[in-house]
Amino acid sequence: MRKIILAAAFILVGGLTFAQTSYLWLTKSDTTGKVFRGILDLQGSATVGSTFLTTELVKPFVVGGTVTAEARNSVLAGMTDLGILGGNANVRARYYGGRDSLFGSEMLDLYIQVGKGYFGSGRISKDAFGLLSNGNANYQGSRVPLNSIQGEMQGFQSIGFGIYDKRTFSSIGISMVNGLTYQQFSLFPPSSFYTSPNADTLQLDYSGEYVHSANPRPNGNGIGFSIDGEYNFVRDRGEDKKEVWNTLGIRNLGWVNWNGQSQVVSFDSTFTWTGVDLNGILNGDSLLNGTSGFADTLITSSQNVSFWRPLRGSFYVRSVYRWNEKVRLTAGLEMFAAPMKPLATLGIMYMPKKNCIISMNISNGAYGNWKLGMGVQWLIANQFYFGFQTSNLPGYFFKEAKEMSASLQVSYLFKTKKKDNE
Amino acid sequence: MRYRVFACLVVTVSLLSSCKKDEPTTWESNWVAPLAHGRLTLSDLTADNGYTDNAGVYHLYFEKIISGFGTSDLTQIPDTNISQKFVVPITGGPFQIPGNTAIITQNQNYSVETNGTGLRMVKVKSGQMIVHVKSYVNAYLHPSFTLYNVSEVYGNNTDIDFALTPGSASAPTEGYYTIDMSNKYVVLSGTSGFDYNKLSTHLEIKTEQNTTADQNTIYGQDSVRFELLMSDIVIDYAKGYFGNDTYSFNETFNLAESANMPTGLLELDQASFGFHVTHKMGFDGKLKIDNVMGLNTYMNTGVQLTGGNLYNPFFITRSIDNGGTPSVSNYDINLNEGNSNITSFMGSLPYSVLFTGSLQLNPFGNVSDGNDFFYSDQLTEAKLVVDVPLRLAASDLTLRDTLNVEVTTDAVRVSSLTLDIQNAFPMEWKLNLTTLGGAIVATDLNVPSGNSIDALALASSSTLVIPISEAQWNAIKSEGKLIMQVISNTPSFPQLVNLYNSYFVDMRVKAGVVLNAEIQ
Repeated sequence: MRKIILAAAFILVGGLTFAQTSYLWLTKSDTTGKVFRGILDLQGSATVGSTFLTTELVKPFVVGGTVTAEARNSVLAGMTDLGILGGNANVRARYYGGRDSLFGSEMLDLYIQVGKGYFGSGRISKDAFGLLSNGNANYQGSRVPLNSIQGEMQGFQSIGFGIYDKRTFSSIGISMVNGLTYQQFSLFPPSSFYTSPNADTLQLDYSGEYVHSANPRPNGNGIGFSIDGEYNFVRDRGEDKKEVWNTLGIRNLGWVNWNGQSQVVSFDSTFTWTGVDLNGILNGDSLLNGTSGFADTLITSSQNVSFWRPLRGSFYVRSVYRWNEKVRLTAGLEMFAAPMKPLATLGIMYMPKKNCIISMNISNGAYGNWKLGMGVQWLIANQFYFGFQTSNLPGYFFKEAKEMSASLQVSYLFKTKKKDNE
Repeated sequence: MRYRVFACLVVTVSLLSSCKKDEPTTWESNWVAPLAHGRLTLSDLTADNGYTDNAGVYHLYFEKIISGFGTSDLTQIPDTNISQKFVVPITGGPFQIPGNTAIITQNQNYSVETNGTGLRMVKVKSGQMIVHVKSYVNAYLHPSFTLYNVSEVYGNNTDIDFALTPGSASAPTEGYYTIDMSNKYVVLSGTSGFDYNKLSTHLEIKTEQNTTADQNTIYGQDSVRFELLMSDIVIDYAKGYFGNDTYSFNETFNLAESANMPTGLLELDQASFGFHVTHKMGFDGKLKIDNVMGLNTYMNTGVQLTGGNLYNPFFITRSIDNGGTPSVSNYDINLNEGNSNITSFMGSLPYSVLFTGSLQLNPFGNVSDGNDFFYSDQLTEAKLVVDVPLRLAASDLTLRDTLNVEVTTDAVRVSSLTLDIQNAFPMEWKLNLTTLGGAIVATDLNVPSGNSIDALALASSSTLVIPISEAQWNAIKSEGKLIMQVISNTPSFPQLVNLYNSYFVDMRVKAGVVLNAEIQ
């Protein structure tokens, strides 16, 4: 009974999220802090997810092909009101130093890291998505608000360092961020598209702005900083106890100042189309004359400005409860900025051996809704660490799935001092 | 262990490379958009070739200027080069001639080419005359050349002086003088005042005033050559005798170009035809119309207009010059339903009208004694006028038009056209659409007759939906054209109905559009 209560508690507060410190590392470390003499850690991950877009619909955008009407209608049928979509791709290399001491403490050392990442997210209402994907044929006599449409994309490089605790891998670090690209598109009220009941009038109200950095260049278009940190602590440590590892962390929390070549393009106007004059057609004008003239009427104003924008950072908590020799229960919660939702995760880890973890979790939030994740971690010969994880395994197999992700982590743990007892 | 690591790498690379995009992303969406709208009235349908009478009935009205008798048709002064040698009237030599001594003095009438007419006076609108003199005399010469009655003031002369250094037979000395002839009167009646085409001049050649005898050595028969070059002379006013030549005219004017003349059966009422001459030139003439033929090239038919005194020759009497303002005389031939076949002529729906005839000048000879005249800005004019009140009956009256459909993108495919029509005309229409290659897009789409009562326009409503298949659209797009055929029938043909200018057709054209988006 006590186990069930504990499990329920972890469902509420704990979780496992990739790019957080491996549980295998945590459990391999000890209170001496001298288990490892440095770790080289390489990570890469990519995620595409949404609350409404299915893999069936997204797949043609990735591998090419036709987006079928069935796929679009299926997505529309599954939408409630506001749909969220997003994705990210990140790579990071981090080296945990293996010196004997730092600032006189044998428990502390430095880590350095470099990384590169891209992030994008957006939102759109059901009607706006229906209009853009299927056309206005089903919207005669109605005005479709477009102000729900927002999107943001940012790309950056980072280089930084930090201090970590060799016993728990708790760490705090700062990175200098080189902003590569920033794009943000927002439509404001009263942006909308109106089709009159008998389709003799189309009206597009467009009000919004498009904020973007200058064209990508090697030296970047902005500079800023980010902070990563993690606090790991353990309760009832020991193999014969109900050990609980807890983690509090922040990731990629920072800001970038995009330079003065960045541009804010504003637009606010109305375009009404009622067709060409019939007399013009009888006098030889083309029947389709003028239908492509919208670009000529797009009224914009732009100015070059420098501005600060936050990186897409997050806060997270995680707990791993040692259920028995081979089973761990996990729970976690990660908080993002809008439009992404909080990501709640709970899962189970099975350890057939002490150097191997097979995990499974269910989660809800971030870009999408419910998902079923799986992962595997393996510490080979107490030196090579390999981890692979997906936050939504069905995304690879079912066309109705709404998220696909893959994370890969490869590490080399230098000169293990403590003999592994596997 | 190495095997395990290698296996991990293979799996990793495989996963990362699985996202390669081999073909573009495409999707279709369905849009509906207005293409065209507007109100068509009789003015629009007839390209404004019409007017409304007091009863509100619309009239088709065509007016065609048959001929402005151009000045170049009557007379002109072509580019002319007149050259003459003047010889010192002595023999022997050498003679030492002191300064300011006349060695040649002569009056001369030059004949001016006028293309067969006899001119006594012209006023030049533009052009030039170049006087060129060559001296083969070993003396300082001062030729003075006078053009009598050539000036911007009628009756005044133009004097030209040259100063020539000594020349020789092998190396003559030359002088040029260019006269701008614009707005100059040129009297061509010669020294007698009764000749035609004679330009009267006076030449005097002296030795230069401030020279001595030993500077001027002259032999008998030494010569000086004069040339007059007239170029680009445009006549503004002419007086003389224009002869009695006959001028023919053969003109065709196209009715369908301006009014989209239909085909089919058309009963008309009270059409009229007019041939009007406004004579403002100073000559008599005999005018004869040889043929007025309505041609329907589509039906390959022709109907000759007959009736009245259309083909009888008639005389036009010379205008009188009232101090620069010629009198005007008018000559009219009017044909109507009562005295001609004009109704059936127009009922044959001619695409064009052929008009041939002739004009003989001065059929009674030079009765004005050389006082024919014209002002270039007041010429005789003849015009045809056709007036057709649209009181008609139509049976399968077919209007055919070609619509331009220029599409430069493959991203758009029109899948349907919807026509919302309000028809106030008292006629039923059938609409056919075909591609340029003849493939049928839509056929026999019916637009019911309007419910108008006399001039009170009351429209009937109808909606025509025309599905367009992908194959049809591809044909329309590649040809860039769509042929529209409208077949009209009035009720109870041949019972006539009036078409009032208040009648209209309101039309809205919508298109169902399939948008093919593609992302590479």
